[in-house]
Amino acid sequence: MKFASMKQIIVLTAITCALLFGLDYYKNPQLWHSRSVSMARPGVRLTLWMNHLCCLGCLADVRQALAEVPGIDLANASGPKQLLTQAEANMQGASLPDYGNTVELPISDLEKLDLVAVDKALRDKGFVAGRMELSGVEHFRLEALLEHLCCGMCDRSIQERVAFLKAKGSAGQLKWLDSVSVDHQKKTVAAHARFLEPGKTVDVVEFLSGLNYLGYEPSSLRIISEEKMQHTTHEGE
Amino acid sequence: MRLRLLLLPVAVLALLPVTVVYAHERFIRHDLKYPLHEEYFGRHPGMFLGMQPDMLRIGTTACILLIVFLFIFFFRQNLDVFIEHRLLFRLRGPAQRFLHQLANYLTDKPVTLPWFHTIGEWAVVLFLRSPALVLMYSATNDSLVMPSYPLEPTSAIYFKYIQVVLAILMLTQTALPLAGAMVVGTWIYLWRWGWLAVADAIPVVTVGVVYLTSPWQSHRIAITELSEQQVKWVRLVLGFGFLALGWLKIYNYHLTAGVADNYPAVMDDPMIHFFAMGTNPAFRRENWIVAFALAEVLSGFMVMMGIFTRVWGSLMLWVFIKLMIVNFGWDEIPHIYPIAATAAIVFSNKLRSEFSFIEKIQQKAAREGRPFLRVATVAFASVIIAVLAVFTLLYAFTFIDRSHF
Repeated sequence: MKFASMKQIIVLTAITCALLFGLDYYKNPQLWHSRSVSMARPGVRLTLWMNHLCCLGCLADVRQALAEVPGIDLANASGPKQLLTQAEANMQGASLPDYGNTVELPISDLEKLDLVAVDKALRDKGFVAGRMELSGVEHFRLEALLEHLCCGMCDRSIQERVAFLKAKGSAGQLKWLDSVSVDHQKKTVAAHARFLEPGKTVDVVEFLSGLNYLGYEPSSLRIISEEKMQHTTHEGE
Repeated sequence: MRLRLLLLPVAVLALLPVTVVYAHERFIRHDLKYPLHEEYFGRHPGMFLGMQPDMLRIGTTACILLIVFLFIFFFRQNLDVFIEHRLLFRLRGPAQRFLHQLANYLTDKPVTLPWFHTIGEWAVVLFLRSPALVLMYSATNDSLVMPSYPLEPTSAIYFKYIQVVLAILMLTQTALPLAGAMVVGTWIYLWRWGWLAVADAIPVVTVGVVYLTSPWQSHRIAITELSEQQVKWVRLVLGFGFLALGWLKIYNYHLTAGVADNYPAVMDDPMIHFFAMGTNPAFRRENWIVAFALAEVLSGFMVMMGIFTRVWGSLMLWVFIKLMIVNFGWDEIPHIYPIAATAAIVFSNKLRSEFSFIEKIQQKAAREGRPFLRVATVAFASVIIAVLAVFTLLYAFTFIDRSHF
């Protein structure tokens, strides 16, 4: 009887690994490059990961949806480069690495940008952003306006349940979140983010979904950057 | 502080592949329905070992149970002689033979019954072929190896065909070393889902080891028995797999609680109730997590080290079958594979212990007429092994904040 030698075992195992990793890398580039795309580009950006964005028709609709949203530099937005035309996509057998794709939006005015407005604009046009990844702001907080904050229990429920929400994110959701504070008078909930390293992103959809999970629908969600925060502090002084 | 410094590089190394490959779209979530008492799993200044009292109680129960099992195991030869030749020496015929075989079964000695041997052969056949069923099941469910790892639609077809090819090799027993390399290679590829997925799938490697140590001309022979070396490797890998899974249940306690929230019936298990007896009902879910985890740690440790392998293997068989048929139903049909692997060990007549040297020391002391040394050696070894096996990681985990996992 002939048995496998150690050399044969190592070589065959290595070949299997290489085959599987290579196949995955070649066929699922979106899983390997989702972070490196934003890492390569400086500046404040919002990267939308659309679970459906398969052809130029889709991209045109997304652009149209975002046209009226203030704070976004749509002219310099960059979409996927290898999109098919609608005619090509209609052809049987036409395929892409994935149906999903990213759209990178440079943020021209952080104060004007309302992430709920971005989400709503996309939904009104028939799209949903799977992720909205913010990058390029080192210190910031997300400020959600909640029309319904009627009592102290509403306030406490948010503060107390956020720890649970973070724990529930077993996939690592909300890891960027440092703490949450509620302003009952202004009816706002501020999500204080940890220092965001250059090249890293924060998925704001996690916070939006989290608020929904807690039973609240924010009417706006704004990004307050470090400069703005310092400005507010000085005003308060 | 030193401990933290020691744990930090280990944790960083362990998490490295997760940060290298980012693929959270494919992570399977276990929906936690109610908040846990997070403080339960952390440090408790002023308490013994800084551990939550209920956790300490469960740990102590597990530790004492392990000490008792180890102590009895190291004297198994003497106990066997005592029971058969002193207590039951009047027995004759079938009753005597039955008790003899029962004692052999319980103490991991060869059971020389034809039907036992036949079941053992069948268990090996099932063990070698059942992974093919699991692979085919996963392929039809657009997943890899287990339904927990769903495949991306863009690459699913290729991975499914690879699984089918591997399943054919397994079913036809063709080029088993190649099949083994493919199993191990696929397991390494599971790093793509993160280190937790890899730990979860350690039992998969068990059959890979058997394939790798099979001959290239495997299709020409009927493999119905594992060699002593193969049994040892199956025991080590399978046992280690469950040991690791047990510790991960405490490490990643949100996920464990999430399973219980979705399948509350899993919390009603007599063995787990035993581990959790006397604990505060206010921490029912937390106690269940630790008790469940330590039950698995103990089972895995016993099987891995070859301490009452058949007893613990039989308990594992019971738990797997219960989970597959009663608790989770069809979703857990891939449990056929660990059932087959465990059965192959339980019905093997080539079981050995990794702690046999302690038995030898004890027997040597007996021959030299030093009874105190015998008992002291066994007692000391049992306590040290049990304390290290149960408390090292249980204590270390309290230093790691896992509330945000």
